Amino acid sequence: MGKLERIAKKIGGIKKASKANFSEGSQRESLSSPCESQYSAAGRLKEDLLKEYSETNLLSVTEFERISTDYGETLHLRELVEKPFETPDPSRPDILSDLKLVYGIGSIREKELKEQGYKTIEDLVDHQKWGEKARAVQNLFQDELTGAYNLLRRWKSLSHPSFLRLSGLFEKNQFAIVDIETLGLSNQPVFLLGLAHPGDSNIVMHQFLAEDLNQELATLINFSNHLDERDIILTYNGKNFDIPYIERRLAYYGQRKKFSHPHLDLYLFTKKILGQRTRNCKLGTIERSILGVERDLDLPSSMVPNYYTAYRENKNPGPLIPILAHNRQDLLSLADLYRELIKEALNGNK
Amino acid sequence: MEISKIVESLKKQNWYEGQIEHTELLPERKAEYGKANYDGRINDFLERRGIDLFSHQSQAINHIAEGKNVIITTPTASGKTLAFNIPVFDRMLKDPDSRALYIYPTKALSQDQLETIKEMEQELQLDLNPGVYDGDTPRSARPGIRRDSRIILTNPYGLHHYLEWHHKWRDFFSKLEYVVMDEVHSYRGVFGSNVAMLVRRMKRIFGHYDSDPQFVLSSATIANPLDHAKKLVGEDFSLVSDDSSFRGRKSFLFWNPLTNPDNSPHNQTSKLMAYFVNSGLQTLCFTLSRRLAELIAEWSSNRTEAPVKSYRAGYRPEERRELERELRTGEIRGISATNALELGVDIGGLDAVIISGYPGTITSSWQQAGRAGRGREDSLVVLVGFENPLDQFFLKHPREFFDRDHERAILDLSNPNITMGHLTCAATELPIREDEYLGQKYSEELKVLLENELLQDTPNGAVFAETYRPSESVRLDNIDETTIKILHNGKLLETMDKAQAYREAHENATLLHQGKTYIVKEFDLEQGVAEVKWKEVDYFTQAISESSLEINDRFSKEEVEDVGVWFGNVSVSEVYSHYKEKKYDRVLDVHPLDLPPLEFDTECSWFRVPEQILVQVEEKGLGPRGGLHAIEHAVISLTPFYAMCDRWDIGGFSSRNPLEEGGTIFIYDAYEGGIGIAEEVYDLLSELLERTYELIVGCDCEEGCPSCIYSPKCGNDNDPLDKEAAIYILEKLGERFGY
Repeated sequence: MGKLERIAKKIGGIKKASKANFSEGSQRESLSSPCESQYSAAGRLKEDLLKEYSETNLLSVTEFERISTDYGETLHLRELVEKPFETPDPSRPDILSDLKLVYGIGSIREKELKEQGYKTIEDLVDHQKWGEKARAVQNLFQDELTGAYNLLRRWKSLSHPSFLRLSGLFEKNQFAIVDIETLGLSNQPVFLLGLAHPGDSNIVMHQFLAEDLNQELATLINFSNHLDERDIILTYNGKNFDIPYIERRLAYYGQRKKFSHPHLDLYLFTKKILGQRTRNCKLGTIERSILGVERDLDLPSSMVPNYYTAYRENKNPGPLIPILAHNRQDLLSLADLYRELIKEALNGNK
Repeated sequence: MEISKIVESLKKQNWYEGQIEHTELLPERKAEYGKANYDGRINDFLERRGIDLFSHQSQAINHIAEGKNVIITTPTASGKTLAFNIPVFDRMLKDPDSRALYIYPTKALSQDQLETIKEMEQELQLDLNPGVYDGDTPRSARPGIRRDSRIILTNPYGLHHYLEWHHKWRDFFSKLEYVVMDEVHSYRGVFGSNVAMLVRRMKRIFGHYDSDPQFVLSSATIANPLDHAKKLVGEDFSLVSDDSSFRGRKSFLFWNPLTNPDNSPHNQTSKLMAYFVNSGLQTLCFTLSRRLAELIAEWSSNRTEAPVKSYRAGYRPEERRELERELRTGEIRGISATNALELGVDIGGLDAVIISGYPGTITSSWQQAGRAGRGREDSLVVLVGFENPLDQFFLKHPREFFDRDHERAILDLSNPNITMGHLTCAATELPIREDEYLGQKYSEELKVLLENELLQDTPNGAVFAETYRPSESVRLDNIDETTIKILHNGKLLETMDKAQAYREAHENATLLHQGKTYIVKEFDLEQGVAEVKWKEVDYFTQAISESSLEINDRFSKEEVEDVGVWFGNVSVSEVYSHYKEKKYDRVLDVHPLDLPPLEFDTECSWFRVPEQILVQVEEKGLGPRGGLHAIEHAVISLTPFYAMCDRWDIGGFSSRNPLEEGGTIFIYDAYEGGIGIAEEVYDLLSELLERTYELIVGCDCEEGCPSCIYSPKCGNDNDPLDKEAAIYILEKLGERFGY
């Protein structure tokens, strides 16, 4: 082995160490900790998949299509899933009953105005002093929902129910449910971006996949192109993870892009609204305890990078299959979770 | 009182037994002044403060204004900070968009300099929001600093991690006009080479945001400032090195404590400290260890009216700030410190400096000596030599000290052990394009990284293709990051690293902190916590360790006749087996210690000297172990010139093997996992031994000296050493290696 070769192996030693607990799965069965058994199960599953899918290729075993973009080739899958999607009743005047959204009105003034009969901002539009400002706010909520979102952002925490109410003013097909799969947690490549656009009875599911790392930029761009400026993004922990991560990977390739869409991070609502009823707020736990979803074969998130690497190294689509399913299920669960949160927060007995 | 009179009456003290071996008088020097161009508001500021710029300052300011990269190497307290702050502030005044990045080697220095910058900002009525951005900066404060601070102060360790978040720094980086790097002499050897690679990664990102900042460096005096700056940054520099500030007369005394064997060197150091303080001199004593800094303070305080304070790493920042302030105002009359006070912490000049034990380099010695002297006043420096051959050599040969060149700072940008790790970091920051330079082309290295699938080629360049964070696996230095917290009644008293905790925070150790003695009640290594109780006792503890080396793996072997040469992997360990209770230098008791060894695995090359040679050495009445030990030292002293590293990056070990198996000399990398130096030694051993032979045989000294076989960092106090035996062994090796 050459000197550089040996150093490269030394540098990559960390990766070897983290892989070890996995590929040796079968020898570790005697260890009984749940984590170990999960890893060894995942290790066996990978071996099985590699066998099952040997001699196949990705495009023949999935519905992915190869797309050509200005930034090179990438894969795209579109699927129509029959599934209802519900948003809060937009006629509810609850948000606009908060007169404090009008700049200059504080709690004391609000109390006075309410006593005078001004129950909502809509009542205020003809008010001599506040009319003009009230009309501006009203307009935001009618035509410029991003502006309305930003107005709420100034006063409310991201888990405030007002944001759930606000989402009721959006069309269903303006919802963009987003979940990504990456090779790590800081600045490693992202290889799969899931995006779901709900409709009345169907959800349009997109999966944007980098066949290999050289397609990452094309995949990111293709994803961004499917996101409309007026969309409202719905994620689980996407405020902290998915969205900044996408922005960062684009910046890595010198592409400056900021996703300043209205954004409902359901993780924040879940923690606040459902947190006390569950053991923890991992999406898997919420699925089982609240949504009643039972995944028959789910890949632990921590195994995702390893499976993608196995897919790349073996040129075998097998290990990719559970990642795609995992990502797809995450998107669908988010639609259910959104419905559940609305029920709890807006229609509850509070 | 005049310095000369104080020295005269020192000689009349009853403990004076002719310790002063030598007095060097450094003459007074008149200041020279110069003019520079800058904004009128800066002129007003200087006038208000009554500052006339020295000519080296104005030279630096003018160079910087002309757009040149500058390195300033004038001594401590010559006004370096002002020399680079003026042009930076001048630009800030003229161009309200401009930004500057200040990089200091330690967090403590950034905090200290922030104060200086804030003062200047206020006086100039600028609104720069200067801010420190490092590991201690709360997460919530970071976006604000990146957005609003026009001057950001940080350190290389932080930058190493921040660079991959460069898009958040877009605004700051794209407006960056100056990068100021202070104390760049500390960026040498492996650490320095890592920083040099970090600078290349930084510049790559600056280029990505279309900025091309000017670099301003400052350094202690080193032998090769221009060459060092160029290698560190990868650009040409102008040098400002002639100190033109006023210097009063300085008396430099060499003090040999051995002439009074009734008083230990440390005891004499405290007596000197107390004597100077009582004579009205504000005195700073540099010690070689944290513990000695505390002990000297404690022992001197018994003889002074106001207590002598101590200063060292590990104190809480607010404690340090307070001590620095009291030093500046003169409230503190005496302080004993580790080299934590050697770097550019602003404490003003003192009347006297005691250097208790040669600090290992000429550069450090002069940095410490430079703390003595305020303006035109006379000042005094005393070097207290210890009882080891190196210190004693300098005491006996003062010219060897005063005429000796400063050390060279050596960097290596072609050691793949260093560069390849940084290439993976760079590929995480921005894809690496094929034609891209990181100071130089690393085509081979990139190829191997691609082949090993750490990187993957894409149309946009080589992309990091792994699942871990390279900046977490690439370390800039070999300092153990484990921090042990010392708790007193549940409150944080101080922090220290693991090796220090082994020495000072084991169970029942006495821990000295600002003149108070604490006893360690519990040392929990796993939690990284030691609990102490305040208890005044009249003894202190000293942990005793032994180092050993074990071969794990042999990668290659060569035989030169009957001399075996190996390259492989070894474990170097330090076992703390017992500790002593001492009162001054008297051992009261010895107790066993139960601590796991401090251990690290590294790469090593070693060779075996055949038994028959050692037998011949013995027959000549010479010492085989002293000979092997001497060769080990001399090889280590020459290695930096072959492996482009610092002497402190390498360790050595030599032993005469049992069962008449000859003797072995080991040279290993002082870095976990190895860093390529020992491998170089293996490849070049024959040449290295030849040079070693020439060095020792050609040295005029009689029994050894710092130029040949004395090591400034020997764990055995340079004992035993046998120059003649070393020459004999090297001659015999020469017959086999053919030199």
